[in-house]
Amino acid sequence: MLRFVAKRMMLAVPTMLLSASVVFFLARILPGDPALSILGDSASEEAIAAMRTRLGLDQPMLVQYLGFLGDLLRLDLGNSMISGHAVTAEVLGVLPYTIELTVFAIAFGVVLGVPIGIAASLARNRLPDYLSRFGSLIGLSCPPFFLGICLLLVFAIWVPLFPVISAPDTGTLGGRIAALILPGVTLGIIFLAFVARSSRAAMLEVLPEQYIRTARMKGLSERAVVFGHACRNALLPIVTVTGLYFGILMGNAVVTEIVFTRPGLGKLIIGALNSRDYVMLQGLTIVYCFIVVLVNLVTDIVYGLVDPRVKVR
Amino acid sequence: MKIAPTWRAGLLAAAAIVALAAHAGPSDAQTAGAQTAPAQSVVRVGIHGADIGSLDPHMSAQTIDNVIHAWIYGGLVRFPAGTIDPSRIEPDIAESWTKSPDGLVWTFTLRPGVKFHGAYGEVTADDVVYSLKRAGNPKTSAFSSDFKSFDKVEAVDPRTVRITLKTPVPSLLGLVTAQRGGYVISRKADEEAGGQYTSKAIGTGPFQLEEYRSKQFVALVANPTYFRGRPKIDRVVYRFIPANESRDLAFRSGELDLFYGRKDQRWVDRMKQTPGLAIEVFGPGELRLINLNTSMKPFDDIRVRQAVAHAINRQDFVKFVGADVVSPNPSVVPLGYLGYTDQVPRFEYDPEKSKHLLKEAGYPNGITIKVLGSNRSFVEPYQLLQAQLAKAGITMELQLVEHTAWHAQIRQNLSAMVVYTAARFPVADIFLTQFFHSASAPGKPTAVTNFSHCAVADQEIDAARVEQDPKRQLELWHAAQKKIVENVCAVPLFDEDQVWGRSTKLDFGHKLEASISFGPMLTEQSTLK
Repeated sequence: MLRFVAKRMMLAVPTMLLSASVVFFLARILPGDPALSILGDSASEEAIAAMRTRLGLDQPMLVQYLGFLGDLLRLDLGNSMISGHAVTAEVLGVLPYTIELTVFAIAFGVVLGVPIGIAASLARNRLPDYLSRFGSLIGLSCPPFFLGICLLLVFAIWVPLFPVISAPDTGTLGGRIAALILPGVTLGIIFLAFVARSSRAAMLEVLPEQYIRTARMKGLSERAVVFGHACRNALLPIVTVTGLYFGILMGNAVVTEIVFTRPGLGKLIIGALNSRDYVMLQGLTIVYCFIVVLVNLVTDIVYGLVDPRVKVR
Repeated sequence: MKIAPTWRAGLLAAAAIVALAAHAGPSDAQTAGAQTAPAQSVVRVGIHGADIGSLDPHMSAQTIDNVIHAWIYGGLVRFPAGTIDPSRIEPDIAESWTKSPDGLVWTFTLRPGVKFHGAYGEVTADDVVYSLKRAGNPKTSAFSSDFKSFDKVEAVDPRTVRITLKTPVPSLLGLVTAQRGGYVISRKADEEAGGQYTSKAIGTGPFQLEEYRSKQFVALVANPTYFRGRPKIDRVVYRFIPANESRDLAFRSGELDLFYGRKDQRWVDRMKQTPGLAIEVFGPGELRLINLNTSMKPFDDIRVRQAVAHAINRQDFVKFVGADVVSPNPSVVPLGYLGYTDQVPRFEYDPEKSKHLLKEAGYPNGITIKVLGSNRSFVEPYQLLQAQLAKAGITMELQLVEHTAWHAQIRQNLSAMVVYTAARFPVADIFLTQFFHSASAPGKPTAVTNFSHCAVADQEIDAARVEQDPKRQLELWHAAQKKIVENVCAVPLFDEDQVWGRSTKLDFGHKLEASISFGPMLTEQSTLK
């Protein structure tokens, strides 16, 4: 098991390096640079040139790249070109907010999505099924910025239950949770719809199976048939889906974080893109890759645990 | 009902979430301001944009930075809060000043007892000299070109600063006003910060830095030793809220006291309905110019440029963007600047005439121009521009790009037409120099924003800068504007004012007519009920 983990982590290194390198060159090919965005629209060419020198951007790209690799070897992600703070510190500062948001969204999706999917499959082509299918279609097609604004209007303005500025910097646990719910629901609703549809489809595949009929024939209660036999098998793919979706949701968190004014990786990456903060962009790519690889690894391990047919070697 | 347990599970989960929400309650989670004692008066500000560029006042010229710099820093002199009239400039760190008869030597006497924030002590002439030299150095300042005419800056004694100029400038006081390169910083703090003044942000203004959380907020607290008296506001939380809708909603839910609005009549009309909200529309107006690149086809032909000028219906633009937030302007300098004139050639709206001019210029079937536009401003009015030009036989192929990329591209002459908005220090010289003097054209080391490569009024602009007779100086500036408009280097549209939303509980303590920082001033007089 330990060997498996170590091997997977080693395989992740080239992935992270490659993606960071792609970002390194892509960002520098884009028109515009950090000097321009630091100094603003009215800066003279002279001042911009001096700033480029200060940031080391006047060096040939290859020299910059070697410097970047050298820093990486020392596990140093560098300092933000805009704020001057260490990238690692900036990332660690906001990482918990993105993680809690994503985990909340995942939990929201699974806790509500699975029962809805099961219920829909059991009531196939009856009202609950139609409702769930219609609802999940809406959930899947509702863009987060629109849903976010709608939720804010309803639950922060008309019925003022939650804050509009969902920045959890008040320090109190209650404040932190209150600042998590609307963004979490906004982010989680697409996942919920996805989980509901996947579990419905999986259940429908399993329900006509022979062993389900056998279970019913030997006189098991419907509850035991559904939960003890059908669900156990049908819901295995949900584990994989959840793992895969974790990365997607972290990406989707960008829009949610902006609408709800939450700190987080998404906001960090958008800010870094707009201001051409190359160092921050490279660092964030590495962090994102690492998280995705890590989550996939955990998914595989969990899959091995819940499905005895799969062995982790 | 066999499926009941599943439904029950779902309902239970939903109920748990609602219960959690109700328990958490909204009041705990207001803003960073809430963690302080309730007796404190905290002004919560919502600003557009994801983060500040820099808290180093010499390093950034973006509105998001300017606004907060003005609360933290002071200069030798300043505009009285709420105005930008150069004739009303008043003492700030300096208590008095004299100038030599030829206007080349200026001597400032510092006010005793002006202290820097924290433990950085009293402002000395050495700090002022250090700051002005720093502001004039392209390595440490975005505004170095403003200080080109400086010969020497010396500390005569700890309370006296002498500035010697190579050539007279139209407004020396403008350069040492509390704004841009005129802000005074602490030498000791800068040396300690080692090139990262953002982390220190030591100034002499009414508010001092408490905490900067990147991509989230900057928190300021009252400067207890502010020489005009301790501010009545205890704390300011300057929060980055990039989404327009989120700022509006955050005000409606009572989480903001002051916020950056939108330069859009529909927004103004809609927000006017909000109880407790006052809309502040104030100067300086930013002049919206359609710059036509005279160095390349097709705009190297004046007839084509005239065709554009005749195709533009300025009044329609004012109606489209909103009479509350923009004022039509026929000249190439923002309204009200020292040296402004509206006595310039006018091009009446006449699309038929445009077509005729194009035909004369050898384009009987009209022209097609490719235009790059920023995704950050003017996005909707571009459609009106497209429609107006189309009537005159000019097809405009617009490509909207991300703002920083756009900026890099227009500085490389990649767009024949550049629609740009700007305000500068309210004296005609700076605006004319940066936008219409040939030295400021892209491609030159001294390039700033002369996107039209205009070179028709260099003589007048240069002469006015050193002219000592105020009447003659005005004449030269007027002549420059006439020439630029006549040659259609740019088609001016309108001045856009600054638009902010303010809670009626917040009183600035002064009348807000204009602000050099593009945002309201918070001073020692400002209060929050």
